Amino acid sequence: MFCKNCGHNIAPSEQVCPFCAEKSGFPKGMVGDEELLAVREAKAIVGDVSFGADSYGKPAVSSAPRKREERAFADEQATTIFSIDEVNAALNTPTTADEYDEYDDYDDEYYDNKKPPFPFTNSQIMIIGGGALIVLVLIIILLLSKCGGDDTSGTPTSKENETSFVSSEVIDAGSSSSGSSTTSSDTSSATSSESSSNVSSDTSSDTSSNASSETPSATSSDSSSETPSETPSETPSETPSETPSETPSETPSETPSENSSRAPEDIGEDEGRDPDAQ
Amino acid sequence: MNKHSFNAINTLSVLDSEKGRSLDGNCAVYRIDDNEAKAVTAVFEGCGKYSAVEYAEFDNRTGANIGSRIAAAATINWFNSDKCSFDDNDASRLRAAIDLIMRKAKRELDYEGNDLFNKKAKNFNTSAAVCAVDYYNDDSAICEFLWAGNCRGYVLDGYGLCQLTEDDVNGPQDALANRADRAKLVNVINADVDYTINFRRISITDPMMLITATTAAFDDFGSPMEFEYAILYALIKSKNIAEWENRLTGIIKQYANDDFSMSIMSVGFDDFDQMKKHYEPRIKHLIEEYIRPLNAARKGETKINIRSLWNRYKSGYYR
Repeated sequence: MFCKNCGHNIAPSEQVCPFCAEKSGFPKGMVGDEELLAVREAKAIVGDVSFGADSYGKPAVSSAPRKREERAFADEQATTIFSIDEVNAALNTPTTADEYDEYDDYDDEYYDNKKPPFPFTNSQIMIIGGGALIVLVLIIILLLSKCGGDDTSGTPTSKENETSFVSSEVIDAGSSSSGSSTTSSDTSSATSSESSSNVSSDTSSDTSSNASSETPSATSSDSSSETPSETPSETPSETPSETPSETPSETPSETPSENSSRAPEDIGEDEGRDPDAQ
Repeated sequence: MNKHSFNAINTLSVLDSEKGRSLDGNCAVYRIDDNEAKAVTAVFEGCGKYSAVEYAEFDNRTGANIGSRIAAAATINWFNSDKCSFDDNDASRLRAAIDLIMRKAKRELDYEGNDLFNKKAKNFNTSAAVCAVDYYNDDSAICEFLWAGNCRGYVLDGYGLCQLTEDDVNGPQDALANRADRAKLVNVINADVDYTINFRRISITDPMMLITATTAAFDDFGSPMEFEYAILYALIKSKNIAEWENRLTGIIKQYANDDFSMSIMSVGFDDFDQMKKHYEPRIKHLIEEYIRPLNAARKGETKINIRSLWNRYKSGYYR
């Protein structure tokens, strides 16, 4: 077997490599010199796990296992199907160690793999939809207010002047508590202009709040969560720097996060593995 | 044409998300026989609705933990006692070995007359993937995969990753669809009802990796293409086997939502550098044909979707 440090071919029983004098790194207990952890635990569960000739071969349940049919590619066909000589001949295999550096370019792409496969995220779609809805509402309100102004005033007066005038009149009326001295046309125009200004102010505040809270935060969260992981700064020896920081749950369509749904199930009725099982 | 030698296992790596954590629901075992002519690696994953049930009789271990350890110990017994003969009865002998210890564990339970018995009786459900290799001959090796449930066995050769096991699910064999649809398991190792140990045997005449993995190791990648890419990427970037193992473990940990176990054996290589060179054409092909388009598709830069890439890729994946 290859020493895990220097790669020289050494005997599996070698704990220390005779070539590099480092630990060979072979799994403990591989050659039977040490009991495997899982076997030790099984013994802790049921005691002796070895079996004698008498007890061996009795199945716990009655029916015999079914043999799965072997597929054709095994044995004879395996030679041709698994042969890579043709592939090697067709492709130029780099020979120098420097050429491994070309794979550095693929780091980013590797980490990109967890991006969602669609051009827009759900939040982006919601923002676009919300913006379109707001614009539509604004147009409707403007049209309505336009119609209302034509109906009520009937004169081409300036709306700003009219609004300020009526507003001050309403304020005066409210402060003096002397009842209404305004005409019906004044009231209606005041109502329409106030509602218009209310809507416009609401709309602008909505828009600004959307713009300030949703869009930038989505952008910033995207950039904060994805950008660093896309361009990992690789340290010489540490694996975590090689690995993306995104969690698989960021691509819900690609990487469902429910352990239970991925997990095996009880035969016949179980829905999935309990995540607490692990 | 290069002459490859198959008279030895070149590498044997066991990747574990939580090495030494004894209460995990998954585990891995491995062994090279005394004559250095056979080797086995296997992974086990306790599963099922009641896998989290704790058993006071067994130091409050969970059903998943108990089932995986029993199956693991039985597999090592099966291998050590020369019951792994690379014939058609290997699967039945492995099952008999597992049943023997399962029966012993059941006897420890004392739920007679208790309503919980029926509930807990359906316990110790475990998925397994076992890979045994007979490398007695110089010119070729025989490899046998035995499995139950949705742990998987793969080979990774110059043509890419190939899933040799079939998930025991109630749907079609489609590694990409099964990820999303979460097809229901229909066959797992257990202590109560009938089950099947499936097997498949191949002849190896070219260098390749032999891989077994629990679901968390492969299923949380975006696609099988990316699982293969992770293995080869870690290999190409590493200076030695230890670095490759650490790098790959780190990558999988970042993706996996759960604990995982995975084993990789390789055969037919001359040394580690030759092993890396062997896979260089493949990773180049993988990048150009699948990884780049996949990333472009996810960025919305192309109309190619992951399904069309997968449809192309799976002709090699299911061989």
